[in-house]
Amino acid sequence: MNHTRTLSFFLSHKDRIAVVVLISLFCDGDNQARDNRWSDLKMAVQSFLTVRSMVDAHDVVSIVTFNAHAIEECKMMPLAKCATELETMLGAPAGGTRFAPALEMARTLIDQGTKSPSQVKERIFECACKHTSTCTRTTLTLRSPCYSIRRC
Amino acid sequence: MYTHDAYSPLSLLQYSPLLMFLSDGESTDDDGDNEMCQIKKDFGFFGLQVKTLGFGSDATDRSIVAKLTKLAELAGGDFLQAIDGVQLKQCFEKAAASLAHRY
Repeated sequence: MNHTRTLSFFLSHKDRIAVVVLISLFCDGDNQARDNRWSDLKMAVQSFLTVRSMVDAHDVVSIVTFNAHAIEECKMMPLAKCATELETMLGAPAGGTRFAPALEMARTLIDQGTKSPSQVKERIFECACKHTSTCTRTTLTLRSPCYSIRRC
Repeated sequence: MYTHDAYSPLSLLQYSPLLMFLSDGESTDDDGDNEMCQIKKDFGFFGLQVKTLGFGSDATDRSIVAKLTKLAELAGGDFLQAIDGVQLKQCFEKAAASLAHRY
């Protein structure tokens, strides 16, 4: 018997966010002004992490600082670990500002937590139905906006 | 159900992406539009959220605001502005709080 059903994975994984933070702060001005800006930024990011941890989120966090180049500060780091290491993590890159390299790196990092529809066309899974002995395969086909599983 | 390759069925969609883009200045090149469009194209289906933030007094400059607003709009996101650390903290807290209410 063949039938199709639709699944929504998003609803069961609403508490998982892959956060990518891209940061560019000019390092001009005196040391005090620069330090204040980075201090403000760290406090703001720390607040973000605190709010997310209060809802028992299972986020992963990637942080990129950038000037003319993008620098990966952390990659897919669990929320709690990121909160602990944030203070020592962020550097202060100097010189120029270009958005493109940072966004390109962000795309790569986001791809670590999801898979692009362009990359995932179809995957084959073993069927977990009751007819394991006679069933061959179940096909999960990716078709935006829904997924369908064809079972035996 | 077991997968035959490295990804489990759920890991394909395990995370919804949130991109926060903060700058206190303007890009030296008028760039980033194509990259942001590509991000939207690749991950919009996965519930992508994008927030661009202008930080500092320099970030009130009209051209910077326009650029960051445009980047946010390209990805269907929001532009936020923070003049000082207090406002920046509020922006991040607001972004975090909004994630809990998006479904």
